[in-house]
Amino acid sequence: MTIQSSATDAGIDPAGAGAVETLAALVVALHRRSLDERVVLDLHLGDRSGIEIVDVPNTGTFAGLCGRLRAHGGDSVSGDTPEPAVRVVLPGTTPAPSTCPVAELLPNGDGIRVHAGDPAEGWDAAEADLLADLVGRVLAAGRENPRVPVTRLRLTRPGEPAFWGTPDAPVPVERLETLIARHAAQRPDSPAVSCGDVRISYRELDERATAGAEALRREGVGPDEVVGLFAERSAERIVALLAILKAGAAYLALNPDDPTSRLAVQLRDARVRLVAAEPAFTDAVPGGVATLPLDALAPPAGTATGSPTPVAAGPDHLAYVCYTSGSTGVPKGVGVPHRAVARLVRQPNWVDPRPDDVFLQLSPLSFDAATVEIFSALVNGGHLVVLPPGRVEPDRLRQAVREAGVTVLLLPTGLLHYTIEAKPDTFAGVRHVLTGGDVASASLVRQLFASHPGMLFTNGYGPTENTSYTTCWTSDVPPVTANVPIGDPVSGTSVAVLDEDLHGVPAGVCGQLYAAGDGLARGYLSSAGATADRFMPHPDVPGARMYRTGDLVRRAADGTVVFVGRADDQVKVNGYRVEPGEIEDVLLRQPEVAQAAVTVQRNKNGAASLIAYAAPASADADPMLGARLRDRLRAELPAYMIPTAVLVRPGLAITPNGKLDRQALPAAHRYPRNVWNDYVPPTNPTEIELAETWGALLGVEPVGVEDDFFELGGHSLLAAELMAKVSQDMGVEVSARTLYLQPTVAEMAAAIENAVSANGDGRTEEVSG
Amino acid sequence: MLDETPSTAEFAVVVNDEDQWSIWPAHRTVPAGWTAEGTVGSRGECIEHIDASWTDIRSRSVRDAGGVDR
Repeated sequence: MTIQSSATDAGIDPAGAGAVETLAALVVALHRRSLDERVVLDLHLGDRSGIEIVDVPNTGTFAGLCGRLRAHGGDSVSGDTPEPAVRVVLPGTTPAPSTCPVAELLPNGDGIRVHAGDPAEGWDAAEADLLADLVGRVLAAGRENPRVPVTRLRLTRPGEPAFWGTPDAPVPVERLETLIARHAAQRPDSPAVSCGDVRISYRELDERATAGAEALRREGVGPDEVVGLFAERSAERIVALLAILKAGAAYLALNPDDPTSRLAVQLRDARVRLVAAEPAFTDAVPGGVATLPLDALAPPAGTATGSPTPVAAGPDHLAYVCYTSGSTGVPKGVGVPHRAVARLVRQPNWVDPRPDDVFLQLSPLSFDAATVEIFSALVNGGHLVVLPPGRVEPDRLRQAVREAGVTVLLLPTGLLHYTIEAKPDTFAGVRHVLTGGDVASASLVRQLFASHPGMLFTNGYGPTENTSYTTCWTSDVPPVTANVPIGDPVSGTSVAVLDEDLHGVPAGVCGQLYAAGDGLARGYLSSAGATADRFMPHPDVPGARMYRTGDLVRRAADGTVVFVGRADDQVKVNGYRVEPGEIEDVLLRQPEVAQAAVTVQRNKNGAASLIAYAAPASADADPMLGARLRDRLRAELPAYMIPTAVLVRPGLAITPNGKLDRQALPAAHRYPRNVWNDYVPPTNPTEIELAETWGALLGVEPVGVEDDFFELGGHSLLAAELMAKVSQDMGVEVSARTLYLQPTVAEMAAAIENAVSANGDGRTEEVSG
Repeated sequence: MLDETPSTAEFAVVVNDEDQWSIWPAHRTVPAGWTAEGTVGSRGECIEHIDASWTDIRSRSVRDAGGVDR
């Protein structure tokens, strides 16, 4: 969009004394609501009509803004007209229907009345009233402090509390293994954990974990020590996890897909000296760390000797450690105490877990979505069904949910979207569907409710540092808003929206979200500085801390929290939290790279992918540098942090203050292929059509017939999309298995052609590997 | 060392009764339950000082309850 603006030569004085101040207050209110530095007004003020832009610099004061408006108004616009934030009309004007709200200036500078705009755009009557209230607050604050920068004006009234929610857990917190052992006493024969043919009762779970804890104690493991857990999904892994807790220690789940160097960094950072590994992974444990077979922590039933040794550990000792992306190039280990998990799953306000519920365990243990699955089930006497190891594919998921009779199902947002669209009968017996990690689609959630009335749905939001969920929207009716709300603080958590000076802001004003209460993590294990930076003094509760999330939000008129953006560069990619700085750090450590930048790009469906840009140190760079750098990244970073493409550019633009200009990075709709094999062009019509489909889906060009779908940046959700597209365009059903076994264009084209010739007309033929 | 645009604002290093360290805007009164440690500077300077001084991020009550030092 090109916007050309030029200063108007006439000031605005629309409706007599005070109206300019009101208009300035409206501009400030809209700025504080959105943080947009240019506020676009659609003026309908008699002679003064048209779109005008008012810049709100960070240092601008209320007096300055009033003076500027009085002298020459905003900047008029030619070229493409930007969307106005508000329409401004004279007193007594009946507003015509408008998408944006309509602000009617009241006579004699008495402020403003705001008429609702399009409710689907979030401008219902309550939100319009909130804006009018905000203008009143800005007007009062601006008149009182005309020389204070408008971004720092205090807009709360005395006595308005900054935090809302309940910081204390609903019931006194206890250690997790204590809570789980209670079910072993009360319902010993009820199923606790299953996986495939393995079925473990609460009694057996408790006995085996007790024996496993004894084995750990013999190794000298005690409270707050971190024990590595290196295994794929299995029932035994859950037993081993409980054994670690029973020994008083905390678990660090190692992700088998992570490169060894990454694992080594985590083990060193968490000072792990012992890793419980399943046999296949023992050799992948970095040197210098002792290993114990996973079976030693989950010995067969009947091997326990006597009653468990009591441990000198309480609810504030650590239960687990999760590593998150760190902006300085080093991942940060978040240490989470039992208290924080107990507050999440005992008598919570966002889910009602019952002993007869069946939960599915599919999330990687190295992310805290698994906390929700495992402990919602076991702390409440429910049945945890573990999806057997292997890729989480929609068909397997559907089968597992239906066979096990899963009643509470947590799916990451991307998988939820796909399942609602393509496999809606997955949810047939499920009474409560939960999601989190990314922005949920309101239209798809409405679709879910339409096909499964009476279901409960939860959209959860929260950083690992406040233990899985900070706010949740739980509802038995579909969302009416354009976005699925993130709802209210979970029990055991309070939240506040604070400005840069750590003062509360009223509803309708954007600030940073802070969380407090029993859900707080201890901090980052070996980084006191980062801990101090993010876990700050609670302004209202003596001696307590609050966590600075980095999320910019505002509170809507209905009290729910609305996302505005990030205070830093952190991005979410497929639900994973990524610090671009960590990827840039790896690139910058390569001698042939002079400059590097990593950004996120979204396709038309909103799916995000990481794109890395690198400027070579010398002019005669190797043409395969992009592919080589991507390999380098793969050797150091987990899969979710590997960019779809590494674009090598002669130089990256620099802003006047010497930083990389991210805005100036070229947006590419298609990226050159970063693969090692030579480009082999498609020849027959099926290959040509497939190569084009892959290219469009993956955003890569050109796609050669020997290119591997997953090497090109494909993943399981894109694979599912590809199947749907092939079925629709070519009339052939290809199974996911075919693609995993034969992941090139040539192989897939051959499979399709075989199917077509075997079937004559080729309609709805199933191709399987 | 920070994950957002470094601010020129001044901060004070503060400590609570649980021996947890943090930072607080220097121009504001330190919240109840926290004591100014004495260091004042940019966010980065304060964080650097804390990295060098705060050697055990466990709260005092957890430390007193025993377990390995971490």
